[in-house]
Amino acid sequence: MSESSGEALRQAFERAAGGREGEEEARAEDTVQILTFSLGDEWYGFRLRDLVEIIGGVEPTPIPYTPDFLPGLINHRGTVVGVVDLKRVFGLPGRYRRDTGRIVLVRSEEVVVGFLADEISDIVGVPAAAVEPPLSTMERVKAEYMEGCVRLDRGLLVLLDSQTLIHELRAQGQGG
Amino acid sequence: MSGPGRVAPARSAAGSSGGLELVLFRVGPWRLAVPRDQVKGIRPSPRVQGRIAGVQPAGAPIPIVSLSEVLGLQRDTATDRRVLEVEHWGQRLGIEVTAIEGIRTVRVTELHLLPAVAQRNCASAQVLGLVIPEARASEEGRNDPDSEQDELARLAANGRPAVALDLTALLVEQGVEVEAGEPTS
Repeated sequence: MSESSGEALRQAFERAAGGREGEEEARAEDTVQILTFSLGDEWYGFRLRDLVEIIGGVEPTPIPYTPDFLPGLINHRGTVVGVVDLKRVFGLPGRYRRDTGRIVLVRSEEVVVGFLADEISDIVGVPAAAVEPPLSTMERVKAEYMEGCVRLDRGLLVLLDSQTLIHELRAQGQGG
Repeated sequence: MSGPGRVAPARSAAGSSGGLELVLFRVGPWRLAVPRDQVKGIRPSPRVQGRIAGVQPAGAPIPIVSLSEVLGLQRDTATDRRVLEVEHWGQRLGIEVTAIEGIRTVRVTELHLLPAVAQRNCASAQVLGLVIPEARASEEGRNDPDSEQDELARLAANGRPAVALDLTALLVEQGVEVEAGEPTS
């Protein structure tokens, strides 16, 4: 094979590789990766891109004069992180158990907040089109904080909007 | 720690090493810390003195309030409680807590402000932040295995945070009132 044909072949390989990368990027844009977890009998999820870490065996340090939905703070690698109990936010029954529960650390911009979860399930990838708007029958508080819902084999999953959730929780105190 | 009833005078709010001297204690499930110079003394709670209600411990009688009630917790049912003595509106006031964990000089790097989500949802401006002890060798008590410093070093190794309070300002903020008595000198 001549040098020029070798160059042409190399370029052909590069074009082919570039095309596949483009296809993968396109597929990635069409797929939503979701970390799923349970709160009681219900399924919830955060986008995987917002996940910082999942930790277990930690009891939040309670803070006086804070509302029920804020069970306390944790020390995460030298940084103090606020922990939120979504069961209290959504009015669900049950309490967090340190032995079986987990704290899901989620980032919104530069802010990291921990959310109590009863059990971590798995990571699912669903087509972006499968994320449906909140059902009209859902409670208002839940609908406000969700990006949408996804129908899975195990049931309906509430995909939480971490940015709105964290922003609203931070702002709640300002309104008195 | 010095003998019952008194805490050795704090050198200053800031310790000789530039840190802040704090009294660490528990109230029910909460681990708390207050500046040492706000605490004028520590004494047993009179309600456990020989199980005879109303018998005062050594020293002048002082009114006592339960910090668990000030903090909005249910009445503390621990049987071995302690009283921190503080100045409140010019009078000596006893603040009943569950247990004293010790006195510790903390570094600035061990003090952490409340994160925004907690700060903006906290109904008191006197909850200052968290003290997160850094694991470090007990320099002062290394030669004495039974020393308090060693015990505090073990506590520090646990890394359990304590919530720092401006206790005297908290009592004012929460409207704690005591009956008029002889002002302390």
